[in-house]
Amino acid sequence: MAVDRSREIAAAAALAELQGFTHVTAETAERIAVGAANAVRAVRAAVRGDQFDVEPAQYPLELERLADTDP
Amino acid sequence: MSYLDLSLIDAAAALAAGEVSSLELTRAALARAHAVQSALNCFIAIDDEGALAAARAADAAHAAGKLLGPLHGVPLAHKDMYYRTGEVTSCGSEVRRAYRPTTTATLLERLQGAGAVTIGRLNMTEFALGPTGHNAVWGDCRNPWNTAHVPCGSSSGSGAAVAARTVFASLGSDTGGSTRLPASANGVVGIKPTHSLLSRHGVMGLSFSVDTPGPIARTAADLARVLKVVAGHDTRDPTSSSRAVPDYEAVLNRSIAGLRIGIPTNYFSEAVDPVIAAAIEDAIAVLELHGARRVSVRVSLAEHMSELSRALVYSEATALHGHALRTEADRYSPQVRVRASTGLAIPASTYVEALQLRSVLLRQFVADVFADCDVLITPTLAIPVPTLAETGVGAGEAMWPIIARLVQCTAPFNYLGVPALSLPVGFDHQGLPIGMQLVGRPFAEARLLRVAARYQEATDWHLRAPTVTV
Repeated sequence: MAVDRSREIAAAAALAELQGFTHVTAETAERIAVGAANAVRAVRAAVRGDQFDVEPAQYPLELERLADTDP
Repeated sequence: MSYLDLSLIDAAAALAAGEVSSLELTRAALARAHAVQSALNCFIAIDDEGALAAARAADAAHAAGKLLGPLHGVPLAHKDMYYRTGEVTSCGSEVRRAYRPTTTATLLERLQGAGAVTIGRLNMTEFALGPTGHNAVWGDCRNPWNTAHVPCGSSSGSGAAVAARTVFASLGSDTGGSTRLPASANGVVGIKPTHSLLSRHGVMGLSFSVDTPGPIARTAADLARVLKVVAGHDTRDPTSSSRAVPDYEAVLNRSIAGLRIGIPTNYFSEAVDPVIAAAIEDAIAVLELHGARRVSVRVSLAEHMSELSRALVYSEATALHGHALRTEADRYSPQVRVRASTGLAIPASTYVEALQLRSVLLRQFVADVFADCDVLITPTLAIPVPTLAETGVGAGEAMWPIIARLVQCTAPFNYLGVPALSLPVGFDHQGLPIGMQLVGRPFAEARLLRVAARYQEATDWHLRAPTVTV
């Protein structure tokens, strides 16, 4: 699905202004917002399994579970 | 040869044997720090009085037949974001120029308990928001190998101060490469441990999901000693791991024969400067002489990990800075104000998705990569160390692609939270150091240190010191 970047950027900048941040420019919004959203979309499409039941708090437990066993 | 040229391990041994006193060594370190400061600006503050008092206390203990610990009397200094009760911690900023915390960082307490002497507070990127080492508030830190170049950051002072032989080791912190990049650019060794290995209590937060304190030193053995002192669970940081901390020094001398070293066929090997690529290839050959063998590995979805990491870092950084940005935005430098505000452009749902995907990608990364190898090898920096001018605000929009390239090989491992170590493996066409990055599965610090130690046994890059014109 094609994504309208200009609307996304404008929305991000407008949201920032509504929160009281007056120094955020469209360039600021563009630099990160689009990259992050694109990365999420790409990874979502590529990873195995669905994500409905993935709990972010599993992450530290995964670190422990996958620990190196080198003495 | 000065005692300051010794490794930390050898300096600690000389102190323990009474060959040199802590007062002598600390005076030498302070003199060196003052001498290089005008050229490098690696310190925000040098604490002569406090350092000398601590050194005298260490000597008094030694005279009474007592060693304070494995770092007895050794001069260190740390990135100015580790809190000490009642003492100014600026975080490299104007906003916190006079900030006096009401707690002391657990890691500082552990170093002090091991007998270390602190000689000052080190320069850093303002609020650790940036990988170059520029600082509009306290002045830019400069690379001791060539002061026209950046020392990289955000632990800029840590890398420069250790390389310039003012201290034997330093605590930095790493949210996108901030320990490994200065280690690489300054020709020293730095590690970003597994995300939960070190306590973050009393350490300035930038991004609580990603921030990882990490030490910088000159040798793998030095790093092993410091890491053993600071690692381990802390009741004041509930996110710190409870697992037992290995004796990193004790296993440092084990063989790496049969170790499988993974060479990425994608992303990390793309657009690498040819001189850097050749240095990494030479370093791999050294490891092969030790019995390691190379295998090719593909790191799936690596090209998206930096963006996902940025989604976490900037969302959380903007939240942490929100109040200050609303009320005293003019006290931020313009560049850092923009970076601290970037999270405003990231929808909450994107942030949560990036958090959610973290364990999914970690599982996939470990399964895909470490099924075939034991240690992954990449450049730390894929491009030669840039100049201050190329990456400063004066460079305008041209600066952004360089900034992105700086963290190309480091930020993905902040997202995954796995350990990564940078060690020096040569010099680029400008005469600036090249770093090689070793990456392991979670809690593989002992393995990474062992590989680095074997490499340093056979090479002398880590013994070379910059000539700082003072």
